[in-house]
Amino acid sequence: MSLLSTAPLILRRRGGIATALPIIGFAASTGILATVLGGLGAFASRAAASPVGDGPPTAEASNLSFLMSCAIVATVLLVPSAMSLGSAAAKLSLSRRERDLAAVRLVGGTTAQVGALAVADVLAQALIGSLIGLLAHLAVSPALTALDFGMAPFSVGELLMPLWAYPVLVIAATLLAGASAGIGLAGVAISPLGVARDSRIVRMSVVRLIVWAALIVLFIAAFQILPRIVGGIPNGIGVLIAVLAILMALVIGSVNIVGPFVVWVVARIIAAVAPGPALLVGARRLAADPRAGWRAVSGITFGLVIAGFLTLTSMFGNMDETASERALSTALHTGGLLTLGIAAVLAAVSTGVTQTARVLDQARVYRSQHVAGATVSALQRARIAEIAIPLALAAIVAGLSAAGLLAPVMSGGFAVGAVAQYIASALGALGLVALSVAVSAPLVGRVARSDA
Amino acid sequence: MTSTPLPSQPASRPASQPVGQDPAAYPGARPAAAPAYPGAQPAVAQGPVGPAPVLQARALRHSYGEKAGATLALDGVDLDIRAAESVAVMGPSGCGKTTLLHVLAGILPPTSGSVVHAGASLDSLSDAARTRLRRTSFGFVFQDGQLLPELTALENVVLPRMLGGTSRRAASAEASAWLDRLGLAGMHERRPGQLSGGQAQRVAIARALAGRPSVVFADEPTGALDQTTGHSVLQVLAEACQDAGAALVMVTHDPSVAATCERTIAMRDGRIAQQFHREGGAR
Repeated sequence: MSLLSTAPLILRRRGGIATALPIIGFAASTGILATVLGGLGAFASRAAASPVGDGPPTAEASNLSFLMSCAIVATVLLVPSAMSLGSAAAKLSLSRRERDLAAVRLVGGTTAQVGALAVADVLAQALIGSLIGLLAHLAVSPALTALDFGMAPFSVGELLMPLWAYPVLVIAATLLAGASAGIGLAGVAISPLGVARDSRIVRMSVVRLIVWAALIVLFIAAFQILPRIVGGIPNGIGVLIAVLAILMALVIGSVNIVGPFVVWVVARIIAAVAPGPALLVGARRLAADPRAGWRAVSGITFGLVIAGFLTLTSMFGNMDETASERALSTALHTGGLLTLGIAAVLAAVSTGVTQTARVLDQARVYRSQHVAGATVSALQRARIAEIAIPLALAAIVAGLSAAGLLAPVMSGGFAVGAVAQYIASALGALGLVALSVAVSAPLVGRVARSDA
Repeated sequence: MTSTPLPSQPASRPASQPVGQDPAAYPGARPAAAPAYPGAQPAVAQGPVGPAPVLQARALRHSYGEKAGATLALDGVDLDIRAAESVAVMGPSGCGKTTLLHVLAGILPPTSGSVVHAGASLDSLSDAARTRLRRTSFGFVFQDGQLLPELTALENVVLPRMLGGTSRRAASAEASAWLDRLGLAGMHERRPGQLSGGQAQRVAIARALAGRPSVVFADEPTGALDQTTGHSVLQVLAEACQDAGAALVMVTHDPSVAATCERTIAMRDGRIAQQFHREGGAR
C-alpha cells in the first residue's frame, strides 16, 4: 500500500480536454442513469397509485400500464448504453495514464501495484464524475416536469429516485468503472519501458451476421403470426407488445454484434484497394481492431435504431381518436423523443470520449508519422476515414435493422414520414460525428508536434 | 568492414523527382569529378569543401524551457554534411546529440542559427513546408522503428510515398524492390508484430530510403537490438544509404557503431568537442 500513498504524486493532474473527458463521460453516464431510472420510478409510482377497483380499469389506468411497459423498454434500451459510456470513460482514463504507469514499473512497482494504482485513479475520477452527474440530474429534473405525457405533469419529487438509491448508484457506477479498468488492463502489458498492447491478428466470424439476420426475420415473423395466436387470450395485446418489445431489444442489441463483423470485412476490402494514404491507414486500423472502430460509432447506431423505434411507437399512437388514445399518443410521442434525445446525448459524449481515447492511444504513432513528413491534416484525414467507414456502415446496418423493425407496419402507408424521420436522425448522427471529430482535432496536432 | 554487394537498384523510379532534392545525391547523377573524401580532411568542416554540402548548419543554438530555467542543449554548432557521407554523432547523455539531429532534420526549430538544405534555410520554411521537406528529402530510422502496427511491411514502406502523391501501384513496385533488397522477400504482407526486431528495423530502413532522400537520420537505430542483429542492420543501413547516394547522420552511444561511419562527431555540453575522420569506413 505504500506505493498507493504515492499516487497523488505520480498521477498528478494534467490540464486539458484529456483530463476533463473521462470525468464528463462518467458524469453523463451517471446523470443519465439517474434520470432514466428516476423517470421509470415516476411511471411505476403513478401506475401503483392508480385506482384498482372491481370495475373495468379507467382509461388513464390502462394507459399507464401500457406506458409503464414502454418506460421499461426505454430503460432497457438506454441503461446498457449509459453503462458502456462509463466503461469507455474508464478506458480513456487508463490510456492517458499509461506512460505514468510505465514509469512506476521502471522504479520498481510490481504489476499488481501498478494495476491497483491505475484502478484507484479510475475510481477517483469515476467518483468525481458520478457526483457531478448527480448534480446535473438534480438540475435537469425541474425542467423535465414540463414534459407532456398526456396526464397530470410529474412533480420533481416523483422524477427523483428514492434517497437510498443515490449512494447505491454512485457506488455501483464507480465500481463498474473500476471493473472496466481492470478488464482494460488485462489486454495491456505495462512494462518498465512502456505499454505493449495485445496485437493478435483479429478474425471475425460470419456467425455474427447470421445472428443479426435471424433475429430480424424472427421479429418480422412474430409480428405476422403472434396477433392471430394471441387474439383469443385475455390481456393478449399486452403479451404481444411484451414479446415484440423483447425481440426488438434483441434486434437492437444484435446491431452491435453484426457491426464489428461488417466493419472488419469492408475495412479489409478498402485497405486492399485504397488509392490514398488516409483511406489505407484508416481502413487498416479498422481491420486491426474492428470492435474499437464500431464502438466509436455504436452510440450513433443506437440513436438511429431508436429513431426506428420512435416511428414504430407513433404508429401505435395513431390507431384511434378517443381522448384516452390521444393522451396515449401524446405520451408515446414525448417518450419517444425523450428517448431519442437521451440517446443523442449519450452518442455525442461517447463518440467524443472514444475519439479522444483513440487519439491518445495512437499519440506515439502520430508523432513518428509527423516527424517522417505526414502533415497534421493528413493525419486528420486518416482519422476521418477511420470514423467515416464505420459510420457509413452503421447508417446502413441501423437502417436495415430499423427497416426490419418497421417492415411489418410499412404497409400501413406511413413510409414517407418514417423515411423522413430516419433521414433527419441520420443527419443528426453525421452532425454528432463532425462534432466529435472537431472536439478531438486539436489534440491530434498537439500529440503530433509534442517533443516526447 | 567490407561492403557486400547489394542486389541491383529498384528498376522503377518515380516519374517526378521529389522537390528540393540535390540531384548530386544520386549515384547516377553524381558528377564524375566528385572528389574522394581525403582522410586528411580538417577536423571541423566550417565551409563547403568540394561539392556544396547537402546540409549546412551554422551557429546552432537551442535551449529548452523559459529564460531563467532554460537548458542549453546546443551551444554554437557548425556542421556540414556532404552528399552521401556518413556521420556518427556521439557523446554522453544530455550532450545535445538528439537535439542536434532534430534541429538538422527540421523537427525542432533552433533558438538561433541556421540550417540550410539544398540552398534553402529551414527556418525560412513554414511548418507545412518543413513537414514536406522531411517527407521528400529526409528519411528517418529510430530506435524502435516506429512502424504502424496495423499496416503490413509493404504498406509501411509505401505510405510515405503515397503521402507524397505517388500512386499506390508505383510506390508498391518500388517498395517491394527495396524490401527484397534488404532481405525481406516473402515477408511483405507481415505485420510489424509478426517480424523480429531486426526485420522490423529493415522495414524502417526500406521506408526511410524508398522516398529517395538526400539525408537519412538515424537515432540509436540498433539500440533495441542484440549485438549481432544490430551489426547486420547497421551494415544494411550504411550500404543502402551509400547505394542510394543518401548521406547518413546517426546518433549513437556505441563506438563500434560509430566506427562504421566515415566521420564521427563527439559532442559535449552542446558543442562539437572533437571530430574523427576514418579512412576505409563502410562507405
